[in-house]
Amino acid sequence: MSPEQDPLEQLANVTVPPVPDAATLRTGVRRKLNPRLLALHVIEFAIGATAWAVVHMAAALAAALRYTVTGRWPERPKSDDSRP
Amino acid sequence: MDDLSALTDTELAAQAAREGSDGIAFTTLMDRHRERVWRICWRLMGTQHDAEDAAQEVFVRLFFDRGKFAGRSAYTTWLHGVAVRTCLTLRRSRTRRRRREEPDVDERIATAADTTTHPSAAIDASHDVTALLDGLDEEDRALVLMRFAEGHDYDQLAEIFDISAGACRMRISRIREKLAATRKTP
Repeated sequence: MSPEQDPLEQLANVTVPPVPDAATLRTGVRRKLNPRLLALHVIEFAIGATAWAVVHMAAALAAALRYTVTGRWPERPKSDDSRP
Repeated sequence: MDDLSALTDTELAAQAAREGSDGIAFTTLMDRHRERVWRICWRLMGTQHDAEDAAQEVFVRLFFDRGKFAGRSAYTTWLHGVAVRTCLTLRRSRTRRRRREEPDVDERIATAADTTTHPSAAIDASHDVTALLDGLDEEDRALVLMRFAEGHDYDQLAEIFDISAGACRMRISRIREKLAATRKTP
């Protein structure tokens, strides 16, 4: 089949409308990008905050879990102030 | 404003990966490639509105993936791969949504497919080459458009579609046969 007869070869001749101007494209990109970036940052913050909270409250959480299972709070070493 | 026009795409991509969303390198990349990305989006999506939406989506995806360019191919080929995948995802999600909203759409698609095998419709379709492609699978349609409308060679197609160059050649040969059969069917 010659290139003139081949319909696939004619695809290159299909006219494409002119490209929208750069400012319109940038505005559209920003309109889509900003909410996603915000959502991403919120998720990152939430994950980071959760990890921080877990690390800092690990002892308390472990004690609460132990109390749930055994019914007794773990004994804490007495501080120097409480000694007679 | 810094003049980044002398930098190559790869250098700009590396700089964009270190910048925020309003970085000048990313904006320069966008300006440099918007025309070709627009052409790909328009050819794959078929309407002005969908193409504009897809082109914006391509650059949003490019922003999130801007650090993933590994340099295995030319930057333009990699970017065209991003554009094709974005358009295919949008087309698939639109088809799914249309199916949900209009449950009888499958029936209408089947009816439309029947008319393309009708002799008069086949003759009309030969004049309207883009109508011929509507009967193809989404990815096959994209492959043909990237090969014949955008002029990518088989190695570039292999990179864009993440298959081997031989597989691209084979698929295009099968598509040719399928289209020829569609045109000849009485």
